Amino acid sequence: MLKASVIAIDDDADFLATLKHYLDMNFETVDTAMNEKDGRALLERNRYDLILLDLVIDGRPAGLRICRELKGDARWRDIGILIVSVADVEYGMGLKSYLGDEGCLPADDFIDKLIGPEEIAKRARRVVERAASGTEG
Amino acid sequence: MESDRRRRKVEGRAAVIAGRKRLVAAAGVLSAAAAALAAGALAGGRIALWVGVTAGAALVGFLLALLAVWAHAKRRRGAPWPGGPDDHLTTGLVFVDARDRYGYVNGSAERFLGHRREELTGRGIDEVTHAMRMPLLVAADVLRHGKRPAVTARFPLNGRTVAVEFSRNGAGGDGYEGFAAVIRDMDERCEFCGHMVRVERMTVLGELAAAMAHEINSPLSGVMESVRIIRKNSGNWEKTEKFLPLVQQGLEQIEATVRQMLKFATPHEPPRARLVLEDVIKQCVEFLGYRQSETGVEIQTALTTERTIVMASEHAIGQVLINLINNAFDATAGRQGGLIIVRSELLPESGEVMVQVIDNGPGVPAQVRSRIFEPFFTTKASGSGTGLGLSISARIAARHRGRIMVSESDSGGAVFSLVLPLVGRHSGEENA
Repeated sequence: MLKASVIAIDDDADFLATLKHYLDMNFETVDTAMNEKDGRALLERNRYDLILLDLVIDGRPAGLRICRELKGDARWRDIGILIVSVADVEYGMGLKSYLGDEGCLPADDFIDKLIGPEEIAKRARRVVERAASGTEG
Repeated sequence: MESDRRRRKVEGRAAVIAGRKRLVAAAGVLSAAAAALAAGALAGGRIALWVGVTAGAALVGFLLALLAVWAHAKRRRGAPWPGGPDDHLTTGLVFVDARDRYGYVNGSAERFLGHRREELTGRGIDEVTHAMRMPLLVAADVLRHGKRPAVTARFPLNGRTVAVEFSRNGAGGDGYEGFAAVIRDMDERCEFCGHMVRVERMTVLGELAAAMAHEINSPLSGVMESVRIIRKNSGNWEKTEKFLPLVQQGLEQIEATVRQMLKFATPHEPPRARLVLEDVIKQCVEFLGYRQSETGVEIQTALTTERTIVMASEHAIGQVLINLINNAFDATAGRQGGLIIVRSELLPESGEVMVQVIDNGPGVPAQVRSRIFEPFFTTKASGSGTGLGLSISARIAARHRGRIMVSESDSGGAVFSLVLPLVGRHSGEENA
């Protein structure tokens, strides 16, 4: 288990509960929020190593905006963001390819939600490990 | 800006229609005047003048009326009224302004979205619920903040599969001016593609038929010979007990061959399911194993120790792999030390799995690699290929949200890589 804190923001309660189960197996602290307001409140109070952010929250692609706002704020700029989304699979939009576009999607990684919570938790672990090794190096 | 353009267009049309009405009215007045003149002439007893004037005026009136009707019909053909100037198009067109509100929506887009343009124009794209709402919202965000001028999407919409291109409006300046969404019905296009898929499948079946005959003929000869010996030694139970299992074995072999053939010949793509990709690869390699003796080329597999699971149609993915392996056999046939390696590899970073068919044939020249997935493009000798196999394979891969790439192997041969999204994986021999 990694000595790291993560937060998952997703409006799908069932998915969030299962994701938390797998994240708990990989990270020391795991928090969840079902909407942007609760997520921001937790971010204000705690320090996290990674944010797992659903692209669509409350029926809107708010994840894109939230991601830009967090990366544009000095308080949260250094926290890794893993975008979790069905948009690429469901709508074939190729959003994964926008990771390098800083003005559009400045996240650290992107994963298809349909791959399942277990794989998402493993990917989250790799993103945190990669960031930690980069910091040490 | 868009509404002003629309208003000007409506006013222009109204002016044209008013002009046409004036023309018809003028024709009517001229005819009436001619009739009045004729009546006066008749009263004056000048019969010849009456006939001439009446006929001339009626002719002019008739021609003017005909001209008005023709002009109106011509205008209607160019742009149906009422409605948009492009309502006859099957392609949907939606304009979204810089404030994320619907602008112009053509008739085809109305059908795709299930809403009349009156219900959309002027309203925010997040206000109206339909299957394209989320892609529109994502595209609006990405085009406003991103660097690319266009975004594409492909998804089911009102029972059809559509491809949509969202392109930024304006001349590429810094200011954001909204975007246009062009919606195309891919099912309609696939009716032709579907025909081509069947042509390709029948061609491949034809190519396989000769080899399949050999597959059936070998065990059949054994069966015939065993039956002949049993009959010749009628009543000899020792002989019967020795040869009857051989008959059964031969028939089972034939049955398995026929089953595989029928599996491939299924006319429609069966629904997708969770598949262990390695199992499909093994089946395809086994299925085409006969080509080793035919071509003198060896085929080997190097698969992942984990069993990778993809959401796919076994039939369709099998068709792609058979096509790639068959191509590799064709490319290496008769070569000294001809070798084909079919390998699989997990791509954990992208959550995908890759199957590679590697051969040590002549390879695919760099200048034709960009065209090799085009329909009817083939590097094989005339008559020995349809030129459709790779284009259909690429389309099947795309339908599974995957892709096919071509590159060069270490030996200079070809490497065809099929990449598919991974939906899970299992270690060891655990079943999916």
